[in-house]
Amino acid sequence: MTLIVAVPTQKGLIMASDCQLTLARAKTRAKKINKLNDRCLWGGSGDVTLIQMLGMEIAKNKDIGTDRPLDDIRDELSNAFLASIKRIPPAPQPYHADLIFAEYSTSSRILYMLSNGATIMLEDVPFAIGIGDDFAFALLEKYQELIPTKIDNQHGAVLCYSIIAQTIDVIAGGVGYPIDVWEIPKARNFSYAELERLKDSCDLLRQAEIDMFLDAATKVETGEANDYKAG
Amino acid sequence: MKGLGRRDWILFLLSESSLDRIHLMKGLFLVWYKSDRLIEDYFQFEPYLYGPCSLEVYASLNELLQEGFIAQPQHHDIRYEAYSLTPRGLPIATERRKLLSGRLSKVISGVVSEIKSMGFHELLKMVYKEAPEYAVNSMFKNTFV
Repeated sequence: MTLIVAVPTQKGLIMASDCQLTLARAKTRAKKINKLNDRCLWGGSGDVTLIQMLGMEIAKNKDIGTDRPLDDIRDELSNAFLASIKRIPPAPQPYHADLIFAEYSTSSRILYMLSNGATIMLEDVPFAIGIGDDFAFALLEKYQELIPTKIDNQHGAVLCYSIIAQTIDVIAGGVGYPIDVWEIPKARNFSYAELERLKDSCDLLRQAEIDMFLDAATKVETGEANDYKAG
Repeated sequence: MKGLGRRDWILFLLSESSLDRIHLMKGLFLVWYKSDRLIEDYFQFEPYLYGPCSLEVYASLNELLQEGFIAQPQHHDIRYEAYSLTPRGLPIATERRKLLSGRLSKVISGVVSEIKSMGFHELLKMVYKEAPEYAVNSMFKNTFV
């Protein structure tokens, strides 16, 4: 399985995913975020065969990958996905994949595609797909008021990395390290050093939360928190 | 210091004490900052979200790990695991340190001795106080300054 999180920012968008690929009973690693063009990224959660087949369909249809807004290519993407399903031999269980296409031009737009090819367009809101997405949405909740106008790509990257890391640490399986992060505009994959720096930022953030909590707990214990005097 | 490369400074700090990555990053910054920022061919620091940070440190640490000069024990919670010199890295650090001036060698010893036992909170607070211009983008500046 997979977890992909997309967070719009002031002048861009961050998309991050875990990199665990589960094949039958074995685990391996794979990049799960792809570049559609300089302003659009995409990724999928679900059957790898289906997602890879869609990648091939997109590569085959050069017109989709050109620098066109998601609104223009929405139907073409749906058709490419439905064509991918038809190319796969039937299986006992129906194939399943959720897909996310995210772009930034003057604002952020996220196209969410379901397994039947139906699409939903979202504007300037964070989104998550895959295993643990409900957990990711819960973690995103407290940042809703900051997104997109009050955070830049650097903060957005820390937020995405932190959400994926916490989800990996908490849920029982299906997602795993390392974490991959991309940004738009210029649709760019973060380097090894940038990813390590994000990891350190998240560790410090987590430690700061613990320190603040302990500090508050100590104040309660020593009575400092109750030193309000009415007059 | 002619003849010294960026990676040497990591070895010098680790020859004083094992350090985790945050302590090492801040230690490398403090050595440069307390040396009037005059060390040639050093890491380039920028004011990042957790204060002074150099992306080059991550790349150098990875190289030193791959080449077996330093080690980081595997642990279930790797974030706090310290880097240390390996038997291969120790003689290199000792030999290269002879190229250092006495003053810089003292700065390194002083910085490592000061920070090695600090918690993250205390460490960031100290660095932000020492170099407030590198705390301007920090997510923690209101918490720790």
